[in-house]
Formats: sequence, C-alpha cells, structure tokens
Amino acid sequence: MKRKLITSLLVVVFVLAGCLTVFAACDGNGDVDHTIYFYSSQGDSLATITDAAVKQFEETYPGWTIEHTQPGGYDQVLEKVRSDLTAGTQPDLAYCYADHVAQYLSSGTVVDMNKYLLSEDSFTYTYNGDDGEQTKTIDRIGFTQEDVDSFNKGYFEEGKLSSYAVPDDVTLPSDALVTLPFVKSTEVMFYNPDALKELGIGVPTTWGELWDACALAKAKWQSCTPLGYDSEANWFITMAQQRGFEYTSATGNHYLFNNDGAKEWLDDIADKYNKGYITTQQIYGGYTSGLFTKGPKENGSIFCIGSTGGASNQAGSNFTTEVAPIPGTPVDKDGKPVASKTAEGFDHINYSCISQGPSIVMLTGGNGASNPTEKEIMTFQFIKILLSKQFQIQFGQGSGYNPMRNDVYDDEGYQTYLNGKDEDGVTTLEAKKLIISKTSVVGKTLSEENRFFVSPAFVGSSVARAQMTSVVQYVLLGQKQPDRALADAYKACGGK
Amino acid sequence: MTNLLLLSSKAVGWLVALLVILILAAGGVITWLCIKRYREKNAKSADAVIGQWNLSGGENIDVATMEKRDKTKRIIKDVFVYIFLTLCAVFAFLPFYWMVITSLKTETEYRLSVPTFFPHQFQWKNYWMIFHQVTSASGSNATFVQILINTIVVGLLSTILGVIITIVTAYALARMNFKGKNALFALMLATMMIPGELYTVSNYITVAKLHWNNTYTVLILPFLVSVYYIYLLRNNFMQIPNSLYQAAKVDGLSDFGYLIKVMVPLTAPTLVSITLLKFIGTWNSYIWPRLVNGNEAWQMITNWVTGGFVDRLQPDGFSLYGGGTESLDTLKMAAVCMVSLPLLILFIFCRKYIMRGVSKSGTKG
Amino acid sequence: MKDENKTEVTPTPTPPPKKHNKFVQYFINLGHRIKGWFVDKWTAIKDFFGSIKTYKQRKLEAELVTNDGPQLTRGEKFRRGLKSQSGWLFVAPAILLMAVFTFYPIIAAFINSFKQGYSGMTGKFNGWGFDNFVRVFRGDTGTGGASFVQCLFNTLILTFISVPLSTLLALLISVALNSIKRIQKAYQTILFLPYLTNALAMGAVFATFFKIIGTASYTETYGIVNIVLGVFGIAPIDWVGLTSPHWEIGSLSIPWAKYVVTTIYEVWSGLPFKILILFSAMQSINKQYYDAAKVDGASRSTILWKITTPMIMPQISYLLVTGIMGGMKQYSAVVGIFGATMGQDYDMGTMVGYLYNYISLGQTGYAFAGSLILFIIIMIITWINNKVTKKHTTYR
Repeated sequence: MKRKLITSLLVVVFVLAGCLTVFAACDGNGDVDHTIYFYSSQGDSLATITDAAVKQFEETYPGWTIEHTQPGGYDQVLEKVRSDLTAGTQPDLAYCYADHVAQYLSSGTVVDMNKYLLSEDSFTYTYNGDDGEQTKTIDRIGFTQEDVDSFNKGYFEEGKLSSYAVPDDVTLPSDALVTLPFVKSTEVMFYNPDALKELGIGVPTTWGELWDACALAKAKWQSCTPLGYDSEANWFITMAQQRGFEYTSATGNHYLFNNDGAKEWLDDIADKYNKGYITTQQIYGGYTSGLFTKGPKENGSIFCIGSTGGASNQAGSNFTTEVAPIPGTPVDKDGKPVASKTAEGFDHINYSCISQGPSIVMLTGGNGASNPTEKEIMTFQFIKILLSKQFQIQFGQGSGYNPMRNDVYDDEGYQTYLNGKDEDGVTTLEAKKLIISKTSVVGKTLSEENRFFVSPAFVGSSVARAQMTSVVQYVLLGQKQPDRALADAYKACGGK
Repeated sequence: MTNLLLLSSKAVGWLVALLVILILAAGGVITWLCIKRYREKNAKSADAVIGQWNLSGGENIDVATMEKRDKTKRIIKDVFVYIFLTLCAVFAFLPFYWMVITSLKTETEYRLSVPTFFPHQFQWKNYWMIFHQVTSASGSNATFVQILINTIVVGLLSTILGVIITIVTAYALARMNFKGKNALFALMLATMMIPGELYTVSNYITVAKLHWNNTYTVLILPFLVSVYYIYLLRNNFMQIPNSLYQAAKVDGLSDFGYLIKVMVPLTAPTLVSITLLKFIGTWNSYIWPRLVNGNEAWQMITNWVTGGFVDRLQPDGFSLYGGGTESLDTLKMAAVCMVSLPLLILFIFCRKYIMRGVSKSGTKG
Repeated sequence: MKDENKTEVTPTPTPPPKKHNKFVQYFINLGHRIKGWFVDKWTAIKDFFGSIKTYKQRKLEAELVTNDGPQLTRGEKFRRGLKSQSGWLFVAPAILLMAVFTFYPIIAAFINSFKQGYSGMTGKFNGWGFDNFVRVFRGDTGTGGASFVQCLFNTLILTFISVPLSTLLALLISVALNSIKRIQKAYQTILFLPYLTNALAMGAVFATFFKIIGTASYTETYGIVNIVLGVFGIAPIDWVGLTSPHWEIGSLSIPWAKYVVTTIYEVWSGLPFKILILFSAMQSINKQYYDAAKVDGASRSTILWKITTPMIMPQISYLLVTGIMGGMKQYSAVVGIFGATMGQDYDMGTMVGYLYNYISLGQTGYAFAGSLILFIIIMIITWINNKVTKKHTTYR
C-alpha cells in the first residue's frame, strides 16, 4: 500500500515536472542578439500599418527581425517596461509618454539619441544569409539634415532632457535627446455650423468670442448647454499656457499651480458654468460627443472641445460637423491676458494647444544582448523607417493622428486625403471619415504655426494632472472655492 | 414607441414598479388558486397539489398527518419562496441583459445621452469584428486555432494538476497528522490576505530570469496552488466522520487508498465545483498572460478577445465606423459576451454533477 | 544520608506572612496577577502540546493493538515516526510551488518595505528604517495620490457590509432553491450568470443604472434606480457622480451613496460563488435528518436554523473568511464603476487601488509598506474574531 502511494505521488510529480520541462523547452523567444523588441499600445488596425514598416526593415536589413508586442494601453506598456527593466529584459524600443520616461531615466538604460540623430558614419554588420556569412553596410546611420528640419519643432523639443526632472544619478548629458515623437494628437473644437448660421455668427477664435456665442445660444435655446469640454485637466493646463499662469516645473518644487492667475481663471469659468454655458464629460455623466451630435434644439451643445483621436464619434445627427482650432486668449506684450482683441495693450492671441500622443524611447542592454551598440544602431534604423515621410503618411491616414513631420502635408496623396477624398481621389469620404480628415486639416494649421506645447515631466506629474481634473470639477460644481480647491490639490500632490 | 424604451421617461419607473407588483400579484393569485383548489377537494387529493410544492423534495413525508391550517400556510410560504427567487433572479439577470444588449448596439446608440432598453438597430457586426481580429494582426503568427489550443491546453492542464494538488493537500491538512500542520495551514490562510498585485512584479522577474516567457509553463505553474480551494476542500473532508477513517484503517486501506476510494466520491459535488471554477479562472485569465507572454502566439482566449476593442480597418476595407483608434465599449461588451458563452454551456453541463449531491453515493451521515 | 540529616537538624523556619502597607500590597498583588497570567498561558501551552502527545499515544496504542506487536525495535519506531510525518509528502508539491510564487514575493515585499525611497525598477534605496510606514500613515508620501487612511477605511467598511450581506442572501437563496422542485434549474442557471462576467465591464453597466446624466440646464435621465425610487416619492440621489452625497469626518470622507452602489455590486457579483458552495453543501445533507425533523413536526424556520445551518456551518465560515479576505483585495469593481481615479480624487480608493497607485508611480516601497500594514490589520481582526467565535468556527 505504501509503495503504491509513493509510486502514485511520484508519477504525479514526474508527469507535472515532465510537462513543464517540455513546455519550458518550447522557448518562444527568438534570437535575442538579432531581434529588436518593440512595445506599443497600438490596436490591431494600427499594428497592421506598422507591419509594413517591419516588413520594410526586415527586407532592407537581412538577418534582423522585429518583434512587435502590444501589451495593451499606455499604462500596460509602462507596467511591462518597468517590470522588464527590473528583470533586465527591457525592449529596445517602446511607446512612451513623458512621465513614463521620467521613471525610466533612473534605470540608466535610456539611450541619448543625439549620438545617432545626424550621424554620417557608416556601419557594417555580418549575418548568416543563404550563402553563409554575409555582410551588409549601412551608408548613413542618422537622419539627413532635411529630415530633422521637417520634424515639427514643438513635438521634437518634447524629447529633450531639459524638459525632464533629472534624477541625480543619471549620467546623460544635459542636452540629451531621450525620446522622438511618433505621431501626435491634440485638442480641437468641433462645432455645429448650422447652429452658428442660425445665430448669425462666425466661428469663435478667442474665448471671449466663444462666451459671446454661448450667451446668444443660451438666449435662443434655453435648455441647451453650448460648450462641452472633454477633459478638465487639459483645459486647465492649456489655459495655464495661454494665460501665462504657472502649472508645474521640471525642477525644484514641481507644483506651481496655486497662484492668482489660476484662481482668476477658475472664478471666470465657475461664473460661466453657473450661467449654464459649459459642461464637462465627468460632470455631464455621458459622452460630451453625445451631447454635441444631437444639436442645441434637443438640449445638446454647439461646441465640443475634445481629442482628435475621438473625431469619428463627433458626426452630427442632422448636421455636418466642422472642425476648428481651440480658441485662443488675447494677451499683451508680457503674455498677460487682456479682455479682448480691441482692449488696451493687446499684442497678439495666444493659441497654445496641448500636444498628446505617443513618443518613442530607446532602451539599451535588454535581454543581455552581446553587442548593445550594434543593437542600438539597428534600432535606430527602424526608427528611421517609422519616422520616414512615407510611413508617416500611411500612419496618419490610417489612424487620424497628426504626423510628426511637416513635409507630410506637402504630399499629394495626403492632400487628397485632407480634401476629403478617398485614396482613389474621387469618392467623397463617408461622414465619419470626413471628420477625421477635417481634423487633420486643423492639425496641419496647428503644426505649421507651432502652437503645440508640452508640460514638464517628472515622477508625479500624472498626479498633478489628476488633481487638476478635481480642481476644475470642484470649482465648476461650486463645491469648493478656487483658492481652497487649489490649496487642497497642492497638499494632495505632496507639496508642503 | 421608441421613446418608451428610453430610460428617461417616468414610465420606466412605473414599468419596473409594475413588474414587481405583477410578480407579487401573480404570487397572490397562485396562492389563492391553490388554497381554493385545496379546499374544493378533500384532504387526500390536496396532497398531490401540495406535494408538487413541497420543501426539500421530501416526497416520502406523510403529509396527511399535517393540519389543514399548516397546508394553507405552506402554500403561502411556497409562493413567497418563488416570489423571492424570481426577484433575486431578476436582480442577477438585469445587468447581464444590459451587457448583452449593449454588445448589440451601434456605438452611436451606445453613446446616446439617454440609454435605450432595447437596441434600435441590431449591430451583429460587433461580433463579426471580434472574430476578425487576429487575421488583421499579421505581425505575429497567432491564429484563432493557435489561441484556442493554448487556452484548452493550459485550461485542462492547470485544472487537472490544480485539482490533484488541491485534493492531496487538502487531504493531508484535514486527515493526516504531521508536525507543523496547523502552522502550515495558518501560513497558507495568511497568504490569502495579501493582494496578488504584490506578487505580480516579483513573479514576473522570477519567470523572466528563468527564461520562461512565452511558454505554457508560465501560464500554468504560478496558479496551480489555490489556497481558496484547498481550504474549501479541507472543510469538506473534515466533515466526513472519523469513524469511516478508522474503519478503512481496519480494512487495511492506506491513506492514499482511503482518499481515492472514500473521500473523493463523498465530496464529488465540491470537486466538480472546484474544477469548474478553476477552469473558468484559467479561461478568464488575462492580465498575467498578457504581461508574461508578449508574443501573441502564446496568449489566451481572453487576451485575444479583448485585444484592442478598436474599430479596426480590415484588410478588405471593412470597418464599422470608418476605422479609428479609440476603444469602443460596444465591442468590449461583445467580447465579454463571447467569452462568457462557452462557460455558460460548461456550467449547464456541470450543473447536474454539482447538484446531484451525495444522496446516491449514500454513506454520508 | 548526611545531607538528609542535615536538613532534618536545621529545619528552615517558615516565615510568617509579612504584613505590608496597602501601597506595597497592591503591587505585590499585581505581580501575582501578572505571574498568574503567564502561568495560565504556560499551562495552556503545555496542555496544548500535551494533548497532541496524548493523541499520538492513543494512535500508537491503537496501532499496537491491531499489529499485535507489543515491543518495537528502535528501527521500527523510527519508521513509524517517519510514516506519521508522511503528510509532508502530500503537501510537498503545494509548498514547493507556493515557496516560489507566493512566499518568496511576500518575503521580498516585506524586506523591501523597510527600504527608504525604494524604487522597484532599479532596486536602489537610501537606507533602512520605518520611514515608509510612517509616511504611509501620515499620508506624506511626497508624490501625492490616494490617501492611505481613506483607502483603508473604504476597504474595511465595504468588506464588512457586503460580505455578511451577500452570504446571508446566498444562504436564503440556497434554502429557497433547495425547497423547490419546479424550474429549479432555470433559477440556478440565471443566478450563476454574474460569475461569468468581467468585473470591469459590469462595473460600467452598474454605473449606467445609477448615473444621472445631464447638464446644469437640462437633465437627460436620472438613471433607472432613481426613476424607480421616484415612484415611491424619493428624491433623486447622485449615486455615482461628482455631487454624490457624503459625510466628512476630519480629512476622512464617507461617500455613503457610493458605498451603497459598490455594496450592491459586490453582493451581485459574490452571489453565484456563494450559492454554488452553499447549495452543493445542502445537497450533501442527508435527507433523513429532514424527514426525522418533519415527523417531529418541526417548522421550516426551525429546520433552517437548527438543522441546515449547523450542517453547512463549515461552508458558511469558509465563505465568510474567504469573503473578507477577498473583500480586502477588491479593486476592479470600484474602478469599473467609478473610473480609474476611483471616484473623485480617490474618495472610493481601496487598498489594492492604493497599491497600484504607488506601483505605477514607481514608489514601490510605499506600496509594500501599505499592504504590510493591511496584512497586520487583517491578522488582528482575524485574531479577535477567533477569540470571539472560537467555538463556532472551524478556522484555527
């Protein structure tokens, strides 16, 4: 009996161990030294477009492969990269947001891409081809000057180390280039042209004009709410930029938002909220796009400020949605806001708008690669493909994101797309696609005028952002006065 | 008419209130009918009526000895039981219903400010979209078949091995005596209190250092031991009277033989429950496979179904709303429905084994 | 001999009990009481081990009788001793796996929680100490985010309301299910449905039921719950929104309306598992008990509380214990209902939410310290619970 017992148990243990050894032997990991690991948060449709770039890379550089992993959303990419950094299995290239990179920096694996950006050096590597060992020479590692010149400046500046809070133990040079923009999105104003026609006004270009339009709309349709704003935090951060009050800084005490400029603006919007002009997605409870698409007569809204990423949901039910840049703030010479364009001391209109969307960061030394430098160079070749004009056009058209190169807008194919035509240049796009292309037109304007800005990144910048959401909500709903809301937020961020 | 289906109108409130009143009223009518029928017939034939509504299926009870008043009470109570169960069932079903209809709505309808009770237009293509997910992601060599094989292999292996380990461990903890048993059990229970999120990163590092990424091992091993089920089964084993064990010992049965021949058959319903729950757990596992097996060819069905949720532009030019990058909730709901369906079938299949009880195997008591 | 004589010759005089003043006497009594307490405990411990010994002896005796072998050689004794430890062989696979995937991470977390300024990613830290714990408790973590006290409070309240509630409801449903014959299977299937769903997706569904949608100028819908309540004349409540009613005690916020919604969700999602366990346990009760009770003329409620409940007490205690432990780990339901920031500014934060918050900020030390404090708190609760209900529970 005892023998039977022990035998049975041993069999179980062996079967278990056997199965697992077999599975462990079926190692899914490829040739670490010649595989570039790329993490992104692309959905499958975008991954299909990226596949083209992967294919191009693998054909151009035989012997090398790219493994493109999609761990999920941005947060999951962050989580996976961070875990990988702990285990030493970090990818060579990853999608990132600035505050992610602020965390990666202390790992010491973030590559300063200035090394390769304009490098004219050639590089030769060997691989095992069909005829045994072969060599392949890359004529020029880096981009050409024209390429770099055509990068959107606002996007490009984002990747400099100077906009980061740098931990003490980071050895990168202070002008290092830690990320490159991939594709970007921003906020735009969707509006209902029919409603504006009925009110007899044009498209508002400043906040003052927008409030005037709201007043008119409110008088005409009592129970409408003229403006829906998707993201409270974006609103605060954008207005900080436009009106010249401070939000956060990369160095020192990061949290600077508790200031008079912010209070003044918050007082102003609280007043507008009480007049029934505005709502936000959270306060409304449903999608602001739902409010917008049904129109003012059905108690909806006329303007909706939201991300270009969600453009396809803004198609009106009984009108054709139009897209415009978000309103600006008239300011004087010092950047202080003035009442209107005709007010005394008016100098120009500040049209700053937020820049969102993924950048890419290069990490080195993952998976114990035997020749990290070679891998860095090859990864950079892949970056070159991702940022090439041709790929940016494809990706921009497929996704509705704004390309990061300005020269894309000169491309004939892309212009056809911007004009609301399909790829064959004849068919008019269906309503939802049309809005995406209209959004891209606005993106072009914004891009050419360099209206984009980014807020500094540091560990905890996402907390500050979340707090701004609360501040705007508290103030609009009248739960807290602006000064108390800001003071509480400051405390919640860990400020003393 | 469609306005009636909107959640905005006060009519909906009345509708729900009416539904509750209806259930109650139906209960009342049934009670009245039963009592009436009972009074019309003599006591003997009334037994048949009441027999159908009897509690705990005790057909052999001598009902005739009961008093008339008791019977009336019984009928009322039975009706209350049905009303109670119906209300609970509605409570359990409503969110599920909502999930199903949401999965059939168009995204535009879903985003309406006032949700609709019933889709204006059935968007069966939501499901189509989910089915066509993998074919578009040509970057990996994952196909639906591959993913299904993964899920079934991992599901079966981890369920079988997991249940074996659970049985053996629970038996040792319930029946055998060895030094440090209680301390070991307390330690195991204590680990239940610590959030699994705490393990995730450490375990990720462990498996990464062992180069187990992109294997089945990494999907099976970490979740084989489940203290929840060990604890449940141990409780079950402990309920089996000691006398059986002594008897088995006298009969010359070893510990292992006793476990297989006596304990396992006696706790069969619980074991089937555990097997079912364990399989559902594997089927639904999502975060860990995604983290450890970046290569899609090694992921599981839930990863596949939930991958992206965006309106992908298909290679053949098809898309729901012209393509986009935002994730769509209707697709998410459709995905959840699709994952749930096989499990529901599995549950219906397993139910009779769970509910059959031990009455047939007998020796209990 | 000599010694004996000596002691006999000089018997030590027993000192008369000394009289002390009241003050000194008090401390002497106190000393006696403390000593008594320790002696008590010591006796209890000795009894405990003693009882094990006697049990073993009993077993050994029983074996001796059956084997007809009164005398055992040393080798046989050793073999028997080894055999009595064969339980370890049974638990070995589980222990092995747990050592790698459970105990090791916990020990690592325990150690890391004492590292100041610990970063999970790089493994760098500034020094050892209790700094993390102090900062977690004071809410002074330097990077903001969820508040520990708020998260702890929410977790405890939600757990201790929803777990007993759902267990009781599951018990009633199981009894009701057990007492019917017709369409029992249909009810079973419907009641099992919630188990097959995904917490994040269903959280959003529940939010829809409770949500008030509208602007300051026009309310689109009060949500189905408010509409139904409106029929009974109850004014609409903002259950999940930003203006949700709450009480404030110091820095602690008690969003009771949100608690109600979360509790309803927890009960809903917890029911299937609990019904499954309780119902299958009830099926295992021998029918003879019921028959006997009925012959004795016992009423239904008597049968429920005097027969059914005691018979399935192990399952109920199992559900309570695991329910509480699961409740301490709740996260996805709250995120599903209230969004990624867990309500407005983490006012519905839970302990795991706290953990995630700090892990995603790269401040792993705080996450570990927070969960260790939670662990200690649950241990204390369990200990008190054991003290109180020692007789009734099988959990030891």
